[in-house]
Parts: sequence; structure tokens; C-alpha cells
Amino acid sequence: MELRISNVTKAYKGKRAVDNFNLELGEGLHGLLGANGSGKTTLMRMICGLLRPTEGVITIDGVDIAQAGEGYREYLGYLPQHFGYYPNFSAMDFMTYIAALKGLPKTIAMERSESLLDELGLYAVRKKKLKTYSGGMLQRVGIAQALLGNPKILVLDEPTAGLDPKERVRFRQLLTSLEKDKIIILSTHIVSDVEKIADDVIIMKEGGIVYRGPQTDNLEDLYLHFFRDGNPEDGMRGNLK
Amino acid sequence: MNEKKSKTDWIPVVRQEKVEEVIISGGLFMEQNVPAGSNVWVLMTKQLRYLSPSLWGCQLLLLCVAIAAALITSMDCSDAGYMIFTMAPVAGFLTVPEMLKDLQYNMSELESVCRYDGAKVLVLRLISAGLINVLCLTMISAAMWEAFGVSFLKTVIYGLVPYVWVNVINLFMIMLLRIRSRRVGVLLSVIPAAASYLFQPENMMFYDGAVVFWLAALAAGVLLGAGEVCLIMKERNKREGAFLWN
Repeated sequence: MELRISNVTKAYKGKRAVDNFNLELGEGLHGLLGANGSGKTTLMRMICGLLRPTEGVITIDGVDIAQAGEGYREYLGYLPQHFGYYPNFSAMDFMTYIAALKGLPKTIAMERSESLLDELGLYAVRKKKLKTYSGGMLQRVGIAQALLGNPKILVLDEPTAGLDPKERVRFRQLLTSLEKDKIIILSTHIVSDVEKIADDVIIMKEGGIVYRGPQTDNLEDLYLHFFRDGNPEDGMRGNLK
Repeated sequence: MNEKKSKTDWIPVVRQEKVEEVIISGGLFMEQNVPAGSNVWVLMTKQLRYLSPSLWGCQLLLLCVAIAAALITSMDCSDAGYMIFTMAPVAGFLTVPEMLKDLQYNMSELESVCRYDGAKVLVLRLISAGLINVLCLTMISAAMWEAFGVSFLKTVIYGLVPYVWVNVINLFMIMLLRIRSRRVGVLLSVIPAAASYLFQPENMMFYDGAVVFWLAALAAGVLLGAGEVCLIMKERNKREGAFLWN
């Protein structure tokens, strides 16, 4: 399976959030690094078909994802940067609700939801309303719903936001335990999230790629090299420390 | 005869390894989680769960008021018709804002990447909420019919016309002003509901000959409403981010 992004541009009122972007992604874990405002979220949304590119095309095995529509979305698991939820739903309600929208049969949906919540340490509280959950617990629900339906393409936009260090380690373990027949795209501005676990690293700046290569030992230095003059408010230096 | 039956009923002995092989294959199939498609009923019941307790409460309250009125007051046919006409906008005023809940809770992004995407889910929601409202209005009409002998068909129409038009105007205002907050939507929907009280049809509007007018008003409202829903679906299918958080 190959996801190909060809000459993709996304412009908002004349400003190019993603600028003539080219990338081929095969099976494996791809770490997409970049400071806030570098165009990561726009790119993730285009990959998920939430936004249409102003120019260019995104294809899966040669088929335009806009044309593939429902067929493409069946392969997709997505955790948005700002994970939303209905506060009156319990974790189990939420999972089965998403499973129904994903078209999973009821019995499989129940079984898979329980097993994922168990895997993410939420089984004991699965019947509690989401409004009673902490930020970290909600983020885990978000990760669990993204894994429903055994997606072949998994898009995780800032998945560790709100997780404490212990949960981050657990999340990294979960990612590495996933089957290798998936295209996993992990977008983040925190170097340690992709360090050691990503098969390849892509660094984005101002809507384009400034680096793509295999995992290296000096990823932090490499990242800082591109963002030396970055805005301190983007938080990357703080996260690196 | 008995011998033949016993032959056709013969069950082969299966080796234990074969049984285990089948169980493992089944387990692997279950792990695949291949989407097979949710049926409409499952999707509808999930959408019923989505609707807020406030919408259910509002319907129940109206129903209680109507039944109480039917039991304790004495009205003629015209008064009963007018009572339904004034109750229906209340039933409708929470319906359209309810459709903004996915935007309020930032769920539209997540729902739009599912197999049954945002546009389809919106239609299911409108159908679910609409069915509940219509069911409530029908029950109120049935109570009026039973208590005052008003024609059942006419009472249903007297309720449906203001209900449909309040929703059409709500939806139009929300589209025009690009409202994304449910609270603002609820506040805004008070306007058409309140405006319907300014439009006080004379009692003569509730006579037999006016039924054609009521039916025409209902048909026009349904057509306009359907057009608005089509526009919203088209907007969502454009996937230009109008329904995204930022």
C-alpha cells in the first residue's frame, strides 16, 4: 500500500499553509515533525479527506482519495489534534457510536471496543461518562477510537497532547506493537514522540519538507538546526528539554 | 424409512485439530474487523442516543400540557386547532440547534472521516429528531381528537405547518449567519418560534375549506426544508473546512 502526495498546495485566503508538497509513504511508522503553524494539521486533514487540496492530488495505490471516498475512509483511523467527544456518552457508548459510523458489525464493535479500552487501561471506567474523564484518559479514548476497524492508514495528529510522561511511554509502546502492515503517520512538534520509534522522519517548515530521512541519534540537534530562529511560543525548545 | 433418515442425519466425526483450525481462522477474521456496513436501524438508534435530554424533556412537557388541557378544559374545534398551532413551534425550536451539537463538541472532524460521513449523519439526525417531534405532535393531535372530536387529519396539519416552518426559518438563519454554537442556535431559534405567535390565524382559518391552504403551506415548507438540507450536504461534501474547528 502506498500513499502518494503529489504537488499538493493548500492556500487559505492567499496564504499557503502547504506549499507544493511531495511525499510517498509506504507501510511503517512515519514521524512528521514541525513547529506549530508549519502546516502539519492542514496536511493531515488533506490526507484524511477533510480538506481538498487547492492544487495537486493525493492518491492511495494510484487512486485519487477524493474519488475513492467511502472506500478510502474504510481504511482510515484518525485522531484529530483537538479531540472532540460528546460529554454524556460513556467510553463504551462513544466507541460503539464511532464503530457504527465506521460500519463495523455490532458484535465485532463491542468485542473490539472492549479489547481496545482494556489495552489502554480504561476497561474499569468504560461505563463512566466522558465528562468525568481527565485529559489523559480522553486522549486514550481518542487513540482507541482511531484504532477501531483495524485501519490500514492511521493518522495521529499530536496524539500525546495532554498525556503525562508515563502515559507517553505507554503510548509509544502501543504504537510499536501495532502491526507493520499499516501506514502510520504521527504528526507532532515533540521530538521525543518520534525518537527511536519512527521508521523515517519528515521535518516540515513553512508548508514544505526541509528534511526527510531515516531515524537518527541526533534528531533533536537536527530539528533545532531547522528551527534555531523559531518562535519560542511554539513550545518546541521546552519540549526538547 | 428409518434407516434412510438415520443416514441423512449422519454427522461426521471432526478431528480436534480441525476444530481448533476453524476457531483460529474465525478469531483471525474477527481481528480483521472488515467493515460490513451498519444497517440503518443501528445508525438511527445511535443517533437517538445523540439527541439531548432537553429535546426529549421538551416533547414530554408538551405532551403533558396537551393531555392536561384535553382533560380539564372545554374547547371547541377551532380553539383546539389553535392550541395545536401554538404548541408546535415549541416542539420545533430545539430541533435545529440540536443539529449543531457536533460542531459545539468538535465532533464533526471525527465523524467526517468515518465511512458514514458528516453529511449522511446529519440527515439521519434530522430524521431522528423530526420523527420524535412528529410522533409527539401526532400524540397531541390524538388527544385533541379524542377529547374534542376535531378531525385527526386536520389537527395533525395544524401542528405540522408551524413546526415545519419554524424549522425552515431556523435552518435558514443558521446557514445565513453561519452559526456554529448550539447555545447561539437555541437563542436564535426563539425568534421564529416567537414570531409564529404574532401570526395569529383567525379562527376561520381552522374551518374545513381552509385545509387546502394548510396542505399547500405544508408542502411548501417541506420542499424548502429539503432544499436547505441539500445545500448543507453539498457544503459539507465540498470539504473546504467550513465545519472544522479552526
